[in-house]
Amino acid sequence: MLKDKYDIVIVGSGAGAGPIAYEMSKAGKKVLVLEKGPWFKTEDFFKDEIVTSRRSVYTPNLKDEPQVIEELNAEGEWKAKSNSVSGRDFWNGSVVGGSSNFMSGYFHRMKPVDFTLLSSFGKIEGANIVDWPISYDDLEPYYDKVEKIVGVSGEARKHSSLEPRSSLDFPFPPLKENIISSWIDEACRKEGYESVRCARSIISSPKNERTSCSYSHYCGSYGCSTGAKGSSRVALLDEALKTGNLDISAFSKVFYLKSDAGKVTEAHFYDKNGEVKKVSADIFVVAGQAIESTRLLLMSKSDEFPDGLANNNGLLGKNLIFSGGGVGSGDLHKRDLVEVDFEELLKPGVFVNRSIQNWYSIDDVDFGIAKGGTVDFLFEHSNPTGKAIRQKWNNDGSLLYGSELKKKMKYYFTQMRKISFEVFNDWLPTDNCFVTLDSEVKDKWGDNVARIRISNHKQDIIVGEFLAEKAEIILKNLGAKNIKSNISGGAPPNLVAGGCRFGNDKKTSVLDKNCKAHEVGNLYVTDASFMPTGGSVPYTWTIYANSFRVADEILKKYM
Amino acid sequence: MNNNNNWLQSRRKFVRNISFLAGASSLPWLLNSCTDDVGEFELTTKNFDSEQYYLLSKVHDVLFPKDQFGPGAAYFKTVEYLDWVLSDVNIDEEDKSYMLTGIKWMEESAKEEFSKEFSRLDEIEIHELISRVSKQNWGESWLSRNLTYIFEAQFSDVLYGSNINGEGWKWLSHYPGYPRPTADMIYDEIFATIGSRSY
Ligand SMILES: Cc1cc2nc3c(=O)[nH]c(=O)nc-3n(C[C@H](O)[C@H](O)[C@H](O)COP(=O)(O)OP(=O)(O)OC[C@H]3O[C@@H](n4cnc5c(N)ncnc54)[C@H](O)[C@@H]3O)c2cc1C
Ligand code: SF4
Repeated sequence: MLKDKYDIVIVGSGAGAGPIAYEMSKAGKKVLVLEKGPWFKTEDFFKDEIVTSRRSVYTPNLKDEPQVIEELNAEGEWKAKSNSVSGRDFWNGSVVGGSSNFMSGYFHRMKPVDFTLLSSFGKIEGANIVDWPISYDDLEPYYDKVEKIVGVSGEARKHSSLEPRSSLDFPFPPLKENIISSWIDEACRKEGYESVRCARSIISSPKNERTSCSYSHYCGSYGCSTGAKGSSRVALLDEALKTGNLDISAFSKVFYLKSDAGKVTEAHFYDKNGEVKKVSADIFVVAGQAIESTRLLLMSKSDEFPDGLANNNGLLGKNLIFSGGGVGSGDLHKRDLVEVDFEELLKPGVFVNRSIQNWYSIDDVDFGIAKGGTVDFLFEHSNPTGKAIRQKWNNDGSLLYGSELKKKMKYYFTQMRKISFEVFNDWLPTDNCFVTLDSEVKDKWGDNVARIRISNHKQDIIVGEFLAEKAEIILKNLGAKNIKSNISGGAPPNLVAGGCRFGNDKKTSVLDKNCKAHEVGNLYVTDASFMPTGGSVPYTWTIYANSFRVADEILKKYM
Repeated sequence: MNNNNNWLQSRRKFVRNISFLAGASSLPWLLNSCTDDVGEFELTTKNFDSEQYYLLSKVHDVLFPKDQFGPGAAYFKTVEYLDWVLSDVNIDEEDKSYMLTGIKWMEESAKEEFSKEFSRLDEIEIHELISRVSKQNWGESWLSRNLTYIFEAQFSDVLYGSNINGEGWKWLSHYPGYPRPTADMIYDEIFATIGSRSY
């Protein structure tokens, strides 16, 4: 039974929500988490490709809950289409714990330079770059806290762009690695690169009820059945529940935050049966992932906020960012690697965990000076249907079928392994990447859905290609064939931030430096929406760390 | 509000479903013998009549034959799998009608190319027909979609009833990952299992 009133109500239950729920309930506050999706427990996750990757189970059916995607077409016109028609899904995980259940957990801290992008690299025409109102030093203690509480495994091997750390090393030792990791080290040595051991939010030794990683071979996109992966659900919410101060209400879709005299007073939500419920609290925290958080605030109009809650300066939803970069790959063939034990390379489960960050800041005679990024190496995803689908085309683009297809599949699955890389660089904020409410398309509850305009800055591609070229050299060194990369302005739906920029100036930002809405006394946003620039790494470690920081600020202010 | 809520499927429906889908052995299509012998079997598919069934099984056999590399589409009951896919209440109606329309186009193409019904084509003509339509846009994309479902059938968990004895993994030495799903958590049941819990 839910109470009518809580100290704090949190919308969403993912990476942005978990630290607040954890800290507040440990501090003795009564906390309610409202999560629109169902509640899967650790024992409910299996390695089932149909459930996980081929159908919408952890994400809504797009007919019920579409979003509208607006992009430039080849003629240079903006064209908007509901994803119930296009199938371009921007949901990442609507369950207790959010998409943090399904992440792969490649964890990088942002680096000091990411907090001062404008003052370090200067203006870029067409990009709304600013410095952050906080510094790396402000966030460092919380990155450290995430290592210990959420659980991050790795090794603080010295390298030229290693961030300053308050703890000497990681609390969890590195995960087991595939033989290819040592080959990458060697290839990097030959090329004069530094091979960085990538940290993971996966524990390598047990912690509370969580057992260590079983190297299940199906990690990204899959819920974790050991509890090793540092999802908000297992690492934070399960711990917070032990205090008896946290209620989690699944199937609770918040559609309106009622406000009065500059404060939010109630959250209104639909329960599982579609009935409207209301709950009040002293403090409200929104963490529905960047797009849906903005949408909720836009939907929460009132006389005081006619354009949406905390939006009297019209900036809500602006400067949405994704992760810039792209992917590349090469094929390692058994026939080319006669002197090594190919079975070792095919070994399932164990990780690659290697990154390059030599060009996090680029200072290159030909390229010039620019903000660069990160390259992570990884194997192709193990999903067999996904792998097979990529085999059904001939080189000329025609359909391959019959015994020729089966021969190719047999070779692909048993005689080679694809090594891939992912490039992460800044997706510069621009005037043409933002969230609004669509005026026509509605969800199954009859509410207007988010309309997402997506556009990237050309600098993102230039930098991404520079980094991909460096990564390709390593693949060549490994003896890979068919090396290619694809750096594009395509937005990765799972790596999204911005829309509620934080800053010190009320005229140019939505949130203050503690992620409280400038205009609303008791409203915080703690997912990645606050980020004015995204850094050149995936976001989740920073989301967790910032949310722990905001939790401290809330405790200081109110408790 | 529209009541198309996956998570609200009643327990009653769940129980009815489970008698239909509890374990692989009670899946109706497993009662049928190999599709090569279409004359003798009792049709159980919900979306295909016997002619459509015949056409699909012939097409799937060409797309994914039994050969020296491993088992073929018939072994993996891929037509029955496709029938299961099209019976999903969550399937996009357009996707469903596309798969069915493709069958009609194949029938029409048989008449255009060989002046006879698909059911009267011999093996060589069927191969030839598929080769020709695969070079047309519609044919290529419809056949490709069939291949995707053939892959799903052979790689899905054994509990789905198509990947018999895990042969879909074995012929490719594929490591499927653990833990494997339980009967109440495969796609047919997962909404009801999770949705019926009270928190
Ligand atoms: C396949 C995959 C791989 C990934 N790999 C990595 C990785 O390797 N490294 C990395 O750093 N990041 C990775 N990520 C990204 C990572 O999961 C996200 O950055 C992180 O989970 C975002 O946290 P969040 O709180 O913003 O959103 P989420 O964790 O998605 O949580 C948001 C929650 O809010 C709920 N919600 C939304 N609106 C409402 C509403 N109105 N009412 C109630 N509830 C609502 C949603 O249902 C959802 O459960 C990956 C993501 C995916 C999907
Ligand atoms: S057990 Fe390890 S590999 Fe498997 S999902 Fe969990 S963290 Fe990932």
